[in-house]
Amino acid sequence: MPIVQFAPFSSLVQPSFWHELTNIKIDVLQLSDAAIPITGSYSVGRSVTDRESGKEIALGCNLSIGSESFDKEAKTVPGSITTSGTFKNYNTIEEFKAADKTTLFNEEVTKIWDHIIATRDTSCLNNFLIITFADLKKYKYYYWFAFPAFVSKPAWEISDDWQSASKEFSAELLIKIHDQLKSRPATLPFFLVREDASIAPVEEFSAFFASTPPSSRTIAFIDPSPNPSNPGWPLRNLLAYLRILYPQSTSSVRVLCWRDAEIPPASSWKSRFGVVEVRSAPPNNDERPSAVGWEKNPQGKLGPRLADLAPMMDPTRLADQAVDLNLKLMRWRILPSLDLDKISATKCLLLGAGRNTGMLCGTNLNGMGCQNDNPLFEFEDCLEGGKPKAECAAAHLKKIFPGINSSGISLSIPMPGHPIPPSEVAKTKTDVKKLEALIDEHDAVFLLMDSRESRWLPTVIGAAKGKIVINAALGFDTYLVMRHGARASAVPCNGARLGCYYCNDIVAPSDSLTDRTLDQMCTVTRPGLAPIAASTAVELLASLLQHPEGLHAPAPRVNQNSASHSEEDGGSVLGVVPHQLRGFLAQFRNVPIVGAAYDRCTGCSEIVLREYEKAGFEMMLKAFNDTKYLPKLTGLDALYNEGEEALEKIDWDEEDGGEDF
Amino acid sequence: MLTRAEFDAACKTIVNHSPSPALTGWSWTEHPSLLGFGFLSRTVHHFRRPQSSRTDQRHVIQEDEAEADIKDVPETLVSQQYVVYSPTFRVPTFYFSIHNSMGSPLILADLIHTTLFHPFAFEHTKLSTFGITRLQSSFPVLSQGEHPTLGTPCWYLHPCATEQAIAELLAEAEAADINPGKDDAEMVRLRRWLEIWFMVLGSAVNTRP
Repeated sequence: MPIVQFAPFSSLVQPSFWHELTNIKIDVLQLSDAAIPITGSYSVGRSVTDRESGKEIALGCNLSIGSESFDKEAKTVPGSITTSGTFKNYNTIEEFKAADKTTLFNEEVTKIWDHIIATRDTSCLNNFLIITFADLKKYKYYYWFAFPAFVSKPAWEISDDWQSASKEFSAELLIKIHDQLKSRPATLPFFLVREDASIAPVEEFSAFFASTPPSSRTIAFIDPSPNPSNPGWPLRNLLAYLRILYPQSTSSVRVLCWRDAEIPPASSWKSRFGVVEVRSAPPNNDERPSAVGWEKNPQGKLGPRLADLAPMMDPTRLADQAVDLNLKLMRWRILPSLDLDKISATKCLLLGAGRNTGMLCGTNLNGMGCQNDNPLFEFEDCLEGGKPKAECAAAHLKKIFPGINSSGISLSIPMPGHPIPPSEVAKTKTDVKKLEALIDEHDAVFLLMDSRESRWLPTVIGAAKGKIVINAALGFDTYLVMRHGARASAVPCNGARLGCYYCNDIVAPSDSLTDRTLDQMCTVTRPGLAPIAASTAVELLASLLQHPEGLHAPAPRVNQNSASHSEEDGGSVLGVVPHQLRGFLAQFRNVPIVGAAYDRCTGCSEIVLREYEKAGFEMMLKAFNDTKYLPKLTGLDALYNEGEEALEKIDWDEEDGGEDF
Repeated sequence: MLTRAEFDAACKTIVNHSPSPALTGWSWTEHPSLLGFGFLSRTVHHFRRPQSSRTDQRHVIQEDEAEADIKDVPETLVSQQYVVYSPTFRVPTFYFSIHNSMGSPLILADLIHTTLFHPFAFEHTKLSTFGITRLQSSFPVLSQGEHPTLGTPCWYLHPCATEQAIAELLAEAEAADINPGKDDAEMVRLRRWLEIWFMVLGSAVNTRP
């Protein structure tokens, strides 16, 4: 007679199991590799009809685990069987590989056997084992299941092959069995069936079958295998259980493999029936039989499996994909000539990590695809006592956009008109050096501080090094977003040079902080203003980067037709590249402005830049300490004097007669 | 087109009361705290369409004579399916996720070759790692997105062409309707709308449970 071939369990892991394991490892287990109890579940086996071939394809004999496996309170899904398992997570791949699998397996098997002998119940027959190693950084999970099953020596054989249950039981009887199963509060994994189709749990064997002749006793189980010729794995342990507890009456067993979760149409019952026999004397002791059950891997060998969840769980990849997708869609569908690589390769430095423009610029830059170093600088406001906003801002940006390379650096930016006490000079020199290095390493610098004079130092350094400098400043309901022009020595002789933040001031940046009222200092603004300014600044950069002339892109002509902003009219593929945008929220108006460079500007004129390049920190120290230094250097002081003299020369007319001399 | 209320009502008619395979197994779920974000969901098993050209060389060493050889059993793939309301297009939209027996989500190139889709569903299309587009169309046929209520990553079939396809079929169905004016005519109409939607879906997706 052919040997009964049982369909082994195939593990079916839900992604939620791995998510829960990650949480548990971090919160609960940490480094512990103690065994913890979990649950799994199975239900009747399913087969599907392949529409193409018309054949019935039997799927696996599945045992499923998910996040609910870790939940002791989880409720069983109606119609499925819950099984108990032991879970052990190792902390390193070496420990996982070196784990003593034989001992673990034998311990589990002994547990099951002892339970059968001691309690005579079937609750442990489906116990399973799973060992895992979770590489949380790479979202890879190594695992190996074992479904222990006692080996029968000699093996069980089947007379006459498996056949449809409807050949042994009439439709009415089968319906009766189905209804009884369904009416029970918890589905029975194993049950007994009498001639009249009444059922009972296997534990009631003696009483239930007291007056039933062996030829009418049927053992049944919920069968997770859909294969017509192979009963599912749970039957193995059920037979072992019956053999040891009822040795005299189990050399031949009538088996009903129950596979009908619903009453089928047209009596096409899936359940199977067969008579299995074992040709050995009844066992006369409680000795534990040997067992098998490590799950083979997809290649059919005894080895662990690997679940790679990086595509789904790695937020970096998810976020990258999302931005990537948006950008690619932009490029493919709307602007084929958009140079995406230019944007993503641009390194941006954000100076000024306030809640408003600093954070928002960072977020917008990521939307544009800038992935590289965005260290955040902070201007230490001495009145606030200096909070480390930069590190927090970097961490916050990373939360919004995990893919960003952002780090926060707290530094104070020295300012003209704010003298440096002698004890601080050395530190200030280091800070300035650091700032110079940072500006050097980046392509674009955003000036987002909340005071005028703090922008001076980066303006000078940025201009000297030929970097793109984007400036954003907020008032209560007005904003300014502008790009600094290139330095004079970089512009061909007759080229028009665009100005910087200071070009339009006749006044050198000095101490604007003292003697201001609280609202002037704290830059109270209308809430919508900061996002508008930040977005405008980032889009200005985007348009600038797409312009073939980059930093040297000309500003749009003042009376340019607003509809014509194509590349031919001096714009970029994204449109015009304005020099300055002044926004007036009260009128909901944005005004593009062009400011010419001033050749005595304290921020970007060649006089200042060359002096900086020559004298470096010494020159800067003078500017910080002496409010008169910059005007003197640029010749602005002479201009004031001329202006003062001109004013004095004017004859002011008195209203009534009588002139005073 | 359907309003949100009509969508909710139509969906509830097919829960637990569905003779056809496409409509079997769905359950209705609401958002835990917000109204108006309900959706249908069900879990279905599929497998990879066998590639006839591949010869399986695996030699399974069968030490245990009582263990059946399962090398020809296809790997079970689990698909979570959802019918979600699209407020933009005002029609139901099919969202789904599909993962293998190890809990790993399938990549696009893999999942279009499973029994979830008909073999001809994606003819004349272009594939990338994150979506399928029909040539000459501005909207992708299949893309990645977040489930609107659950927030989990899913694939979805773009609903832009749904309205048109359904309108044609609906007109025919209504012409054949011989029982206008019944009491629950509205529910019947909504249910039919949804049944037709499933039919249209069924032209690309294998909707059996």
